[in-house]
Amino acid sequence: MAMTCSTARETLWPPEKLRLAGEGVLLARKHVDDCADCREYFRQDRRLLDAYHRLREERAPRRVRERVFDSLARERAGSLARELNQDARTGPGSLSLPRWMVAAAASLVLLSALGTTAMWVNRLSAGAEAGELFVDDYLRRAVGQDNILTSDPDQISRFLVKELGFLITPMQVEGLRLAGAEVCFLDGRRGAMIRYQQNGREVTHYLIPREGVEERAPRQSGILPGGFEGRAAPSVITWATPSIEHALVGEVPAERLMRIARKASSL
Amino acid sequence: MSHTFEELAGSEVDGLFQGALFLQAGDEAAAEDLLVWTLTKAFHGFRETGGGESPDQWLEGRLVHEFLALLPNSSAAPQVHTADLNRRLQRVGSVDPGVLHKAAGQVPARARAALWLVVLRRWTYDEASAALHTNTEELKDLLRFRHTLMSAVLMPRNALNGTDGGMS
Repeated sequence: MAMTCSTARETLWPPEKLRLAGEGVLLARKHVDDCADCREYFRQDRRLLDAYHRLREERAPRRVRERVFDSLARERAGSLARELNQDARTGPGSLSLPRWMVAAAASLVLLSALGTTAMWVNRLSAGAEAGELFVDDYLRRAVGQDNILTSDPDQISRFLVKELGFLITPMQVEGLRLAGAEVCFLDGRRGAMIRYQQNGREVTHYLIPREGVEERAPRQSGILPGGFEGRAAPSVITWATPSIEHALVGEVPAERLMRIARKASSL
Repeated sequence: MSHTFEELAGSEVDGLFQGALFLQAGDEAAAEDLLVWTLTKAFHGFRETGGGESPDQWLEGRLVHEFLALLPNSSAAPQVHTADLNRRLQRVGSVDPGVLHKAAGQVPARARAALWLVVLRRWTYDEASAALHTNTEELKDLLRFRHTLMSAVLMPRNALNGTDGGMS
């Protein structure tokens, strides 16, 4: 019995799927072999899929990624603040997060409320209503002013509060001179990168908020980055405090970084 | 292995943005809004469900859900034209990825969502029907716009309405 085009296509689609060569499949294949329209149909299917796969390999613009993760950061801060409020109502003993996290969450609640409300109300409208402008302004600042050069720890703390929404106090370790800070963007997360100088060498302290991370003692990273032929690779020490991943990176001996990390992790 | 939502979003954001561009017919600003809106809402859903067994597919479903939820009612049920059902298909050399999103604009929004899920993302009919809150028969009707998409890809300046027999 002759097979119709639509049955043959339904039987053999998607063509990349493995299927048993039963009677129906054999009939469908025979139909497609004999039918120019069906052959063309499957050719088009492959062309469309190939074109789309090529598109999917393209990275979303940095602007888009920043906006996504800023929005998620606001949502997370808002959620955290709500959870903290709930914890606070159930009793002071249940509050286990560091005090700065409370301040962080609180500082972002307003931002979260304004930003999210603006987006939810405006939806996809391109109108420049006040709420949307607020979000735009916030994003512009977050992307545009992403570093500060100063040795003043208070200025750096203020900068990071403004950019990240939580309080980070730079380390104060003898021999380590504060040089500045930047907002970094690692693996979809916004974090702080505080720069120091020690004997003319730069030491960088990364702090990346990460929910649920368990406290971990400092240890030297076993990873030796490539691309340092002819000069010493930087030492890397990593550790974690509740909700923050830390790393110290610098072209200084690992033992020296480890001493700094131990001091910082015990603060 | 459990992931935070940010990790999931970070690994999927590129593909989702391309999906949003297709759904929004190449309108970058609208695609960006759709993506941010979807991920912001999905953030809360993820806290409750963890994204199920296939969080990446769950996110794609959320993208379509939010896209359809934002459509005006008049776009919810596109009329399927049958005049060109018997049109013979042209031979296709290759498809320029650059015109694919724009070409999607020639297809009604709901059909665009069906084409994205089934033809481009290879969802099964059952999965796509569930995501579109429809049945297989309506899904097949929507998929007939594949020919319109193909025609627009090949002749981007012509606004064609024809559909082919699809798989139905």
